[in-house]
Amino acid sequence: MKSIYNIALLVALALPAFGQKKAEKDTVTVKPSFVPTGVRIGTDVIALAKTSYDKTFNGWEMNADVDFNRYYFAVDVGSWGRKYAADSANYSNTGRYFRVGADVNFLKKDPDKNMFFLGLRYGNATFSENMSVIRHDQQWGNLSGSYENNNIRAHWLELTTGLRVKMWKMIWMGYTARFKFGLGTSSTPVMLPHDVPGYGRTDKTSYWGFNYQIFVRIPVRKSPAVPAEK
Amino acid sequence: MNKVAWFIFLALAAFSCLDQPDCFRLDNSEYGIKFRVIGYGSSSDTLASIVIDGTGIVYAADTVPVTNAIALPLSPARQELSYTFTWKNGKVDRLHLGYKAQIQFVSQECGQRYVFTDLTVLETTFDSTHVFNAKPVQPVDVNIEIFRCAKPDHIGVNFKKLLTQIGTTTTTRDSLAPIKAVTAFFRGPNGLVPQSVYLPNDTLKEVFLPLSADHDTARYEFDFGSVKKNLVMIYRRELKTSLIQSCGRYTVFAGLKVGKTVDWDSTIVKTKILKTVTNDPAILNLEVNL
Repeated sequence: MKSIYNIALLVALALPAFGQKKAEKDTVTVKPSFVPTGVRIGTDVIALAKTSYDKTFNGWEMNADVDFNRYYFAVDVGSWGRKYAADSANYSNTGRYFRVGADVNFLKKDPDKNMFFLGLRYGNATFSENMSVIRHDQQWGNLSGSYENNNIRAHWLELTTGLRVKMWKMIWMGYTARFKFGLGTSSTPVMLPHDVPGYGRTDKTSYWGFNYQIFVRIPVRKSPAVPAEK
Repeated sequence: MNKVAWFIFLALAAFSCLDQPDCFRLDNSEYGIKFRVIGYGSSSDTLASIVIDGTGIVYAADTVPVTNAIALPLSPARQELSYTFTWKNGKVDRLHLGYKAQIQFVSQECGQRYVFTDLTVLETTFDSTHVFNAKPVQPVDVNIEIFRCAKPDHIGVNFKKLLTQIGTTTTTRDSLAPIKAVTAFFRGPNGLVPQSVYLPNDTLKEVFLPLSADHDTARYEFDFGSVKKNLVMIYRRELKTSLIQSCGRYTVFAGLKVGKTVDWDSTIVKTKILKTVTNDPAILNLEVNL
């Protein structure tokens, strides 16, 4: 039920894009070009900010996409580590991840190629984690111990939506909301993973993620002219 | 559209702040056992104690029959546990259980939790077991069903006090009978064999009496202290085949009726048959007016 709600929310996010007025029928037909016009490379500002103010988090993420008409091939690469000190346990993890996928831009007529998009990603992470526990149980006695998982693999899927807006010359900003689901991790017989870099907590069957991004767009050719709206 | 986008952005940011886990009931460290009788349903046998072998943990069970599921703990430090069940009737059963125990960090506020999965019965003296759900849940629900072979070999007698009698219509109420002892007599190769009947108390409103699969009649002598009374039961024996092969065949006692004794004065005569067939767990088959 929650998944249905989440998907509905993602669709709702994209609804304004569907509300665009269709251009009147034009007598000129422009054949769409699927040759890329530029590469956009950016970083997640939230990850950088969290790294500076949140002592439990340390990470970064780079994002890139390239256009094929209104379709974009997108790649995200990142790293994060977490460190928690609870009353009875200390936990830390670190690892790297990537996501690959595609976005569809619903702002078809925007001359700057600003984006309101829906997309799909496949995510994959490799990470290690360790935990030390100090606990004395009244029934079972001493349960203290140290546990670790090394080089665990994880994969998941994401439905994405968001904005990309040209701010000034080559500088772009945007955000991406991610509905993450379908997490699978490699077998860990003693300790279950807590947090997968790029995904988040593993005790949830679905998870929301959010990036606020700054990009530099490097044009590789001039964008074809967009037919003027009447 | 920009306003909508910013609104959604802020809403999502707020939504993400409400994403902290609940620290309540993190461990699923207890599993449920339900005792059943093959072919009949829930068991109402009464446990005396449960011992978790090698841990020093002993549960002195109360006197309530195990009609409902019971919850037992799992150790995070082990991958298997052995339990010894001692029943009120003296029977002892063992259950050797295997499982997977994994630890997981939950959050800075909650610390860690233990996750138990893959419950497996490795060895048991029970007649049959079935892992209904291999992962314990919170709150505890049935994970393992334990079956025993059916033995519908007791009749239940309910003591009543006669209040009014108009013609054939009588009004009665439950009555506590001060019983010192009950002895069952079955005819063996060398004459009548007395068998003492277990009484949980000395004042009872009902008592469950054994029947013999070798004979068609049984006589019961009730010692009320000042007086002894006899009850003779006549019945038909029907052999049934159990659903589980290892249980083989068992006897159901049907056509229950009250017989007469030679010594008429000491016979309980005011009786009423409630059910003519025995059941497991035993049911009240007969009302006796004292």
